[in-house]
Amino acid sequence: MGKTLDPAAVFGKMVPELIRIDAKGKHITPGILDEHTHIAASRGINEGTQASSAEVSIGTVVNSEDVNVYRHLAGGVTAGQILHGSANPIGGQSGIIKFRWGMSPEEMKIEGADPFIKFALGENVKQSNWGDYQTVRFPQTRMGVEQVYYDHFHRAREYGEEWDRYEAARKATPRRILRKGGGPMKPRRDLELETLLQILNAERFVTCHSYRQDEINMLMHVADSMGFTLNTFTHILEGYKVADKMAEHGAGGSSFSDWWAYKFEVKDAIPYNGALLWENGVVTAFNSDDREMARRLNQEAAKAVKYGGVPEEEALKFVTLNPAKLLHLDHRMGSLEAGKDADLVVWSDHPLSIYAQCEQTYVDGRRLFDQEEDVAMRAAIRSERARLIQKMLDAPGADKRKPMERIPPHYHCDTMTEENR
Amino acid sequence: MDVHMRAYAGSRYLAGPDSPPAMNRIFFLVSVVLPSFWGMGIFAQSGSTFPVNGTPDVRAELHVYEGATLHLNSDETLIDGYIAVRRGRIEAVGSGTFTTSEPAVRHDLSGKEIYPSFVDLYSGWGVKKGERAGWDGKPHYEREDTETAMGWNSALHPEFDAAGAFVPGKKADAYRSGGFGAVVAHREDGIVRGTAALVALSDDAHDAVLEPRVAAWHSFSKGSSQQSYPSSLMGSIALLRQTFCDAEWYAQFDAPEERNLSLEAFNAASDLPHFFAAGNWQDVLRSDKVGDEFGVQYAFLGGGDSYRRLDEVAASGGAMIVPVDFPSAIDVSDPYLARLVSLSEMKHWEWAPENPGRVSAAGIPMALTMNGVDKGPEFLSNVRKAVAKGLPAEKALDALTRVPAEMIGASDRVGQIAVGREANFLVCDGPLFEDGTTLHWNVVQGKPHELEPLEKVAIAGRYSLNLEGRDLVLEIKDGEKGPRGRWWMAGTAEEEIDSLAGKAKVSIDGRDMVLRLIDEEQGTYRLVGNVYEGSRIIDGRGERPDGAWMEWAALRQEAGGKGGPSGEDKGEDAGGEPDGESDGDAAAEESTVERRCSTPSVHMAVRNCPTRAAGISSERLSGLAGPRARLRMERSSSTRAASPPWARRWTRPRYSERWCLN
Repeated sequence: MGKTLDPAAVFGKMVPELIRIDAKGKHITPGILDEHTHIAASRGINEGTQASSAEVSIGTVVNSEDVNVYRHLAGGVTAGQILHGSANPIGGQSGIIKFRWGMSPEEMKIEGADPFIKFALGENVKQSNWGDYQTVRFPQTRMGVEQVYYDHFHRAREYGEEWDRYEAARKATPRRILRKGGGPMKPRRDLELETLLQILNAERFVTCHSYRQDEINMLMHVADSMGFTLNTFTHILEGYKVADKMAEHGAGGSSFSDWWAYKFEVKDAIPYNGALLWENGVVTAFNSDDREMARRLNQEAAKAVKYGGVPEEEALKFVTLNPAKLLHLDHRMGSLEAGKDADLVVWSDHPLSIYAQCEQTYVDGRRLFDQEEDVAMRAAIRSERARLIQKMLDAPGADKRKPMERIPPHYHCDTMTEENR
Repeated sequence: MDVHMRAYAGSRYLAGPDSPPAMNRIFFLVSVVLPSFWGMGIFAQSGSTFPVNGTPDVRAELHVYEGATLHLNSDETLIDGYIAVRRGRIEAVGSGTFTTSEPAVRHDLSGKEIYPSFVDLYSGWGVKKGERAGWDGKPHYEREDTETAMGWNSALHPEFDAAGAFVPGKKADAYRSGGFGAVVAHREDGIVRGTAALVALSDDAHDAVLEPRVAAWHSFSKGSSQQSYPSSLMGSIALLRQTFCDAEWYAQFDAPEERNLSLEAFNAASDLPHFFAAGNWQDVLRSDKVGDEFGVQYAFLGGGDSYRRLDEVAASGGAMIVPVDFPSAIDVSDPYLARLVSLSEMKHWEWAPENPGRVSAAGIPMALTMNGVDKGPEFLSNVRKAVAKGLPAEKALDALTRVPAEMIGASDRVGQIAVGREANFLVCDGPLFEDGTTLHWNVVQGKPHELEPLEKVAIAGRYSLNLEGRDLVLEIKDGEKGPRGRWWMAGTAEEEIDSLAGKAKVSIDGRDMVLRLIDEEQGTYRLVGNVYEGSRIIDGRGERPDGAWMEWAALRQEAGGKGGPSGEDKGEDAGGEPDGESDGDAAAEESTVERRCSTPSVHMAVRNCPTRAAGISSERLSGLAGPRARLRMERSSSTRAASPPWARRWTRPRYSERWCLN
């Protein structure tokens, strides 16, 4: 399938010495991008304690040590957007990272990437399934959700105007007064409103957790009337009902291939959703929202072929070029082109086949996953464990701890924890 | 220095750690010093401004610790040094003899090594933690106490003043036995935790609070706050960032429309060093980023895992407060259960002790903390482990003394042995960070806290014991868990001892011995005895199996080495086999006794037990005391008779001999 590229042509740009890799009989694709994931974040994925938590950012809590980063590489996934959960209408800022396994959190972040924020609609934000006590926080209804948006964007606009007035007054103040510390009072910097103002100024982009068409229409209406464009609807399981309107608004869709029936508001989901969105000219991606599914996003893409007959090349774009577009990274990622980042995957078979195994994954031209190396590392880990076990058995002292399993938390959109006690 | 001239009766100026073995090395400047030993504790009170109920109790104020090797700090060492201490502070430091016309209590510490006591930057000692109200399952959007003029979020306590809330707490012993003389105490609660106080590990808050405001502490942990926000790490980060923004905005107003005492306190602390209770290396980097944004360079409490990302941690530019709470090994004998343990946890077990050395080698300014370790000896042994794993001993000392003192700008108070500093120092019998070195005293603000007696009373040996007419042999051996004993009838053949010996349980506390003699026929004799200074006699009273009281005495018949069961016999193999005593040894012992009798120390020994020594009846001694013992007793008596009148006043009961130590 597709064009045949000489990997050396790409690698030649990245490394001074030409390394030839024999990929005869293999398939090479661009690295897979996951528009919606919750791995690699420390101590909580939701700050759902207020209707808006625009001030929080997953980017501040990227956990470079999450083993899922490596496991994603083993599935050919090279970059992803770590999203805030869906506990509140205005969630938090996202972290967009390349899975540069072994590097520090800051080094994993994609330099110069456009900033995004998570919004959410539906049952989660109105706390439908949270038990009897969660009846205090606004909003409790879908109507209230709409008002949260209007209220916050109005306030953000006023906040921007307050700063504009301040800047103007400052400019009008003579220098000598400024030098003496005089001049207008500086407004309070509000991290929440500052973030929302960036949305209005098209400096930050929204990806919105969404299921039902009525709410999707509602939010597009809010955006239209406030003068900004929604970048992405994520999940968007009823997108097939409003695909034409989404295309008109300019929103993309980042959906599940065939994951549904897990709560009432997703009962209208169909596996043809991706194909229908794509047919209507919506930039369509499949995402994982799940650390396990993320490792086989190539198979998720294949489901667009199975359900709806999307051409193979277009289906592959659902997990490569299209999520890159949705993340504004298509100038660097998502396809095999000279000049783009050398994020590559070597597959043993046709990448849309369930028989395809990811054999090698390159990020920025660095081979960060290799099946053979993985086997060797497993052996090394086994012998290292054996050495340490022997050392522990030999260690003196009667106060040995009982073995305890430490299970790292597994986050989904609706995971509510309190891990900052 | 007029502050030093005030009349003072504070408990910390009680005299030195004169457990009897040390006493014979203390030469009293008699007339003034002696009164100071009377009525100990009765007038213990808190400060000069406090009214005295009774008569003011003025005591000798000058204590001289002399003869030891002084490690003033990691660079400077004085051989045969002295430290003169007045009212809790160091008045003079030097080599040789400290001369003064004033009365002084002198503590002969020759052969010992003295180091500055440690300073712990991360501590919650004496400051009660916030308590979380019960969980009711409901969201809490507002803080509980909305009536006050504090900020909106109850995870922020910039107004909390640790010094004001400080009450010396129970953990003092643990800190002191770990070698600490002072800690920086703050309330371990919340994201902004308020100000921290430098406090000495003394038992009276008025003495202990050295500097009330030395640092501000922040963290990402919301602590006891009942409020829902923030519920995540990113929420904590955002709240802290917003607080910096709010404080900057608030600082513009001379008369704010909206009073916010929290923000005022936050701004008032801005000139203090800022510390961050970070934890793992990722949180170090995260908090550093917040600090960078608002122009604050935090020093970080680490999580013991900085070795994983030394370059990044070093690049933060902040000093590290490094814990030594090394994990213990895991019981991996069950292969299934062992599978639950991750490789990274196993490797951390192996590498954690290397962390302090690696942090130090990376050039990161480093202080060590006892945080995470409950017991003092465990702390010291873990520091030694770190030293064994590559942390240079002088860096370890710096990390426990000079560096933390500098980090809070308190080098003029703590962290080294120098004039004007608090008299906080450690007395040990060798290099501090070497295994096997015993930490004897931790002197805090001039008050010695005994951790291990300077010299141990050696009681091992075979004793003749006359138990109500029965001639017995009592054998005491030193064991790992304390002394072990057994007894048999005198005259039992050596090869029959093992089969005929009865059990005897021995415990010793200072010079007080408790002996349980288990007689299978009659029952258990419970005896209490005093081990005499420079003598081979142990005697006392006890209860017979039938409940009647009796007197008893034992005389060591064969010494394990030279000399009697004296504290002065350090270096002997006290637990050695008792047999094989040669005539030469006996002669040596005789001369030792002779010599002792001629020294003032004997006065002390006798004074410690005057009535008892004099009161042993000839009957009780007849069965067990050889000519040597008689000689000893006579000499003691005669010496006592010849001693000056002040010595005779010394008739305190022996069970209070450890009066000045705790």
